[in-house]
Amino acid sequence: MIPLALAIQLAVSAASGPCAILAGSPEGAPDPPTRDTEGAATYRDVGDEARASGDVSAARVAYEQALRRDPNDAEARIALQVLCRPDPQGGTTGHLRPAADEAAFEEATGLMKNGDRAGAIAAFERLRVSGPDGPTSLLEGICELQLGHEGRARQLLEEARAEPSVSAAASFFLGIIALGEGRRDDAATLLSVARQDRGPVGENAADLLTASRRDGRVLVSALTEVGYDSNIQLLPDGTSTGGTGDGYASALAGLFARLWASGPYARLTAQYRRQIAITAYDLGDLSVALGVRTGRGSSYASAEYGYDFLSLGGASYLSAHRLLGGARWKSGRVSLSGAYAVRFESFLTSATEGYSGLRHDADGDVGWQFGHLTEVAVGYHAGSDSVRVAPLGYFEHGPLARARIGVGRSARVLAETRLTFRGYDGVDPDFGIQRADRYLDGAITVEADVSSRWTLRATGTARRATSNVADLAYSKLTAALGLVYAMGAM
Amino acid sequence: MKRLALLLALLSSVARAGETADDHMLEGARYFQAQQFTEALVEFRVAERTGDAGASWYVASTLVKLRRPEDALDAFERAETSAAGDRDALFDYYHALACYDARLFFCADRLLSALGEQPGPRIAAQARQIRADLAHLISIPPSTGAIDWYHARAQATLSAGRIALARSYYNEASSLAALRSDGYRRKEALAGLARARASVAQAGVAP
Repeated sequence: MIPLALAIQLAVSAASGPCAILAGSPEGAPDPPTRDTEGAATYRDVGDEARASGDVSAARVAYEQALRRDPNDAEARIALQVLCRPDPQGGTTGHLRPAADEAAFEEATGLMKNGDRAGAIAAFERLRVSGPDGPTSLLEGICELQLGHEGRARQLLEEARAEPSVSAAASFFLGIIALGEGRRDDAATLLSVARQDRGPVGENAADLLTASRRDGRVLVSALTEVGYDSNIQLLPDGTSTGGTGDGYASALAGLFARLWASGPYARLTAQYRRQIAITAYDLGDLSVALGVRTGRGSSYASAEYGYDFLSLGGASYLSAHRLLGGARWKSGRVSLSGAYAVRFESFLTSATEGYSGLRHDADGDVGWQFGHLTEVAVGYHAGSDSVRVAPLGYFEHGPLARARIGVGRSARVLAETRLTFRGYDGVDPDFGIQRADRYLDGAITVEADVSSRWTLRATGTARRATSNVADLAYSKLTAALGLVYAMGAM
Repeated sequence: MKRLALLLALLSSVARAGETADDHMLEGARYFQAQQFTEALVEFRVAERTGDAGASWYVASTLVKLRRPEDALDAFERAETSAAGDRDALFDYYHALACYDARLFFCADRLLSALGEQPGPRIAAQARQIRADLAHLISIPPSTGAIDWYHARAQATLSAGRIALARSYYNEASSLAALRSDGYRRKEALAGLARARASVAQAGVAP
């Protein structure tokens, strides 16, 4: 979303320029013999014209220039004093907001910056008594929106929209409201208007417009990918059995449906991965989930039940029920995230049956946003697998780090690395010792939006596994290139 | 703006002396270059008052930079009347930006389409990009609300005596209405245009 500071800056700059020029000091003025009364008069005329048209900033500059040329130009001096003093005596300010209101406006924006939205609303409301004012309506509307009063916010933002200087920003926030209410067509129109702004508002609107085309009550997505995996033969716990590499082609389709941004949702995904040579590892994956999510924007909590069914080489491989809970809280640049999942796994082949059991995974991280496009997070993860055959069970834990780096406005790099220390539950009968493994994993994804609905994606992953059983050490590299389609509807 | 560049090239060794219109143009150019647009605006306006009618083009371009598109459009209108000979492709580009910022998309597209490569490759590329952005806005039937907005602006500017601006808004309303099968408020827009032209004629200015 457009940063609040930017909205305030927009409204403040639209309302009045900084009073950087203080009249009354003849410092820097030419000596009397070089006074230019004619030049001063011209500047004064320009100042008068600017003042009459409501252009305070230009008027101040013009009067200041007039005084530099003729410090005795009383008319310019008085006019500048009227424009610069916090409580002007007499005179007219044309279309200008009275200085007392300027001070009240600054006070109200100060309250808003400090998070006192109710106080800011009251202050803006007092200002609006003296007449409609676009910047005031914009900021009051944003405060109402932040408090969840969409109806009142819409009213105020519609008022603000009539003033060209803040029309784009008002359209942007009206677009956000429309998106939240599921009025996608209205949102697209409003954001298209806001996108015409050639500044940050336009950039933010363009981003939101693109995102909105991939969002909605129903989201359809598809991925097609080709890749290479240097080590496909892994057991369910990640133990390598062969170290053979193979290429693959994969297709995935997904359907996500929800009624509201907060509330219940359903998800269905189906994936088929075809190996080029080792077809015994052809993978089919069907996953359904029902969940509920609450919260808005970047702070939310969700809970989900899911069912996964996997086939390998055309034969049933895994049936698993899954419960997942997660939450994220973000304030300013800082975010906290946590997730916990438990999966009731039933492996369906004789070779892997012993791995069936209950698997727990939990992780948490602290994130920090740098600028508009970059976010990094560091955290910790832990997991355990309580399997039927005791020595195959384990407990693992370790640190993790994630980064999301925007490249321009339509490309991004996602990176994650984690180190995992795993200790198995008992002495492995095959090796005669209790295994202790270490895994260093890294993943990087580069995504580039090629249109509002298509994204080109390149992914690379790497793993280095070491163990106190030297034979179980292995490396694994994967690389894939894919095309993603995402379309939101309703 | 070519002239502006020439002036800028001469700027470094020039000190204020005599305060002619050219001095103010130079000073304005210096501020413009430094992105101090309010100061530039004042200097260009002083130049305008001290006899350089061509300064109106710079005033208008600076108003575009100050994000005051309606004022800029008024200034461009004034420049076209008082210093038509000073018009060049770069001013037309700024004029198009003013139209764009005032949501006069047909006006922006018309000006940009006439630019070609005249203002140089960088500006020409930007112009092409803006035209690409505009393409869907001037080809998809607009909502009635959008057309109502143009009528409201046209009436407001006409009441304020900003006749050229009112004419632009009515023109836009008429062009947008033509995209709709029901021609929503098109007759009203054409009538408004006629009214604006009558006001121009009454004021003795060529429409």
